[in-house]
Amino acid sequence: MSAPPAERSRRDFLRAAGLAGVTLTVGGALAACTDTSTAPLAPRDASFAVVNGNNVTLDFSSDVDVLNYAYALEQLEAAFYTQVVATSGFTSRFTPSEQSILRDLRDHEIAHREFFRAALGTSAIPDLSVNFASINFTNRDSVLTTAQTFEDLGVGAYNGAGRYLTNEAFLAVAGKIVSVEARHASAIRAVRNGNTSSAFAPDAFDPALTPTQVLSAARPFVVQNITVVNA
Amino acid sequence: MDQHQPLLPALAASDPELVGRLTAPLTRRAALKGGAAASVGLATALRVASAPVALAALAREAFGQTGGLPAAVVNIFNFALTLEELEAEFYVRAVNSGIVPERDAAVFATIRDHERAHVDFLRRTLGAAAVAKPTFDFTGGNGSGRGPYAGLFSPGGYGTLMAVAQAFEDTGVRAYKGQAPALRPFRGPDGNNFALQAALQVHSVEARHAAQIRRMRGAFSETDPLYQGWITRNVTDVPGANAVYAGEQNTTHAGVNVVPLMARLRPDFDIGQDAVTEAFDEPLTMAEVLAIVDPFIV
Repeated sequence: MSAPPAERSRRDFLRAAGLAGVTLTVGGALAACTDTSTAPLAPRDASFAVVNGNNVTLDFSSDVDVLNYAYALEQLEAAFYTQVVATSGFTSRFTPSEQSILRDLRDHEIAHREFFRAALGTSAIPDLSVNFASINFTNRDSVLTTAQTFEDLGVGAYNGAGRYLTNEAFLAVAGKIVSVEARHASAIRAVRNGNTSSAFAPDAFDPALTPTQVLSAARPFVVQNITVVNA
Repeated sequence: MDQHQPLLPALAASDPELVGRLTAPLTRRAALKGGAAASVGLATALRVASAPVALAALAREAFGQTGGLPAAVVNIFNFALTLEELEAEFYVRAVNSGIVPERDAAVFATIRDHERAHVDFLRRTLGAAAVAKPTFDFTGGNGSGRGPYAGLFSPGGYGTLMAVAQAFEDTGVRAYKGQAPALRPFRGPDGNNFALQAALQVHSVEARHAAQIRRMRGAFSETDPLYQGWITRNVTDVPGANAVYAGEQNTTHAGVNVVPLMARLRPDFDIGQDAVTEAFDEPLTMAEVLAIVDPFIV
């Protein structure tokens, strides 16, 4: 599944350039990252995303912004697990098996984040600032409850956003990631509720959440105010 | 239904009989029989999943005015139905075998109910276009009952039973994933991609199942990558299941190789190739999936 970006997507991006209010620059470390071994999805054009101070508006009539939406969620998840693992007492708070899971989740979410960052190139939204004030990272239940929320939210977000993607290569990538988020959700739910519980998969059909539902749930954890239009 | 057959060219060469079954509409009698069998499960489906079921009803109603579901959707949903029938009967037999330890009973019953709900959803959506339920040989013996997984429902067979369950679940995830792009174009009268939407909502549940079964096999100890909820490279200890994991070691997605991207994060994070392969699941084509399940279908 290493299909090159379709020409159609290139046209979409070019079309987007004329409509975007602000051309984004990608923050900090990434700007220095010019790995020519990758062939990013997005040409170096502006995205549909409009960033005005702390307000980020994503336009779901553009595939790029659907991917930016996923990128925002991956940033949130990666930041969360990074802090979980880095917080003092991690190794005494969780069993070795649980530590292994949480480290894996951190690494996977970072891989997702870095993938989107590279794939979107200059069309990527900026680095988000997280607000984890409501999470007690030294409390096991607080961490696990938040982890379950984020993983279930990720699954529902991808399930709900997939149909907005017009480019089949992008949809294929989203599909590769969402099932890993579901594997995460299953594992965290089993850790929280017990391995013999049915909680790992609460329904025969996972929800498909609207961007409004997802952003409403994510809002307390993100400083920027993200809005989705045309969804 | 002839227009559906060109979509199965690879399989047609290897197993024309299976293609015929997958593309043959239910006879009236079989449809009635299927409907009766589905009625119990349907109540479950409605309870746990009103949205996709309602979606199915709406889709049928809408497309009923324009000559039925699009042929490609019928073909893909019948493919999914065959896999869901396989899984549903597998878990029914597993639960009824008496060899599932008490501690794992709730998990098996849950997965059984989910697979039944998926079957009911697909049958309800397809209506008379649904294929008949095949006869299965869960030993993988193509009907001989003496395949490589013989004894999986007998005392002492629980390890084999779980190994087959894992292979089915991981195959199911890859099967739905592989069909998502093909389902994308089909929209209902309201403009929504109802078929893709429903497939995605099932796809992630199969992934939840897969993770749970994988972790059960390792007694929920995460010390061995083989028994983590996610797939490392293309490795597996399930005998004869190499095709289920073929290609999972891929690290390039939509033209972006993710492994080199990890370099800039060192030394804070040392995320290697294995973790990158875990972070992305891979699709399988319909032909690849059918080749995997062929030994289980009589």
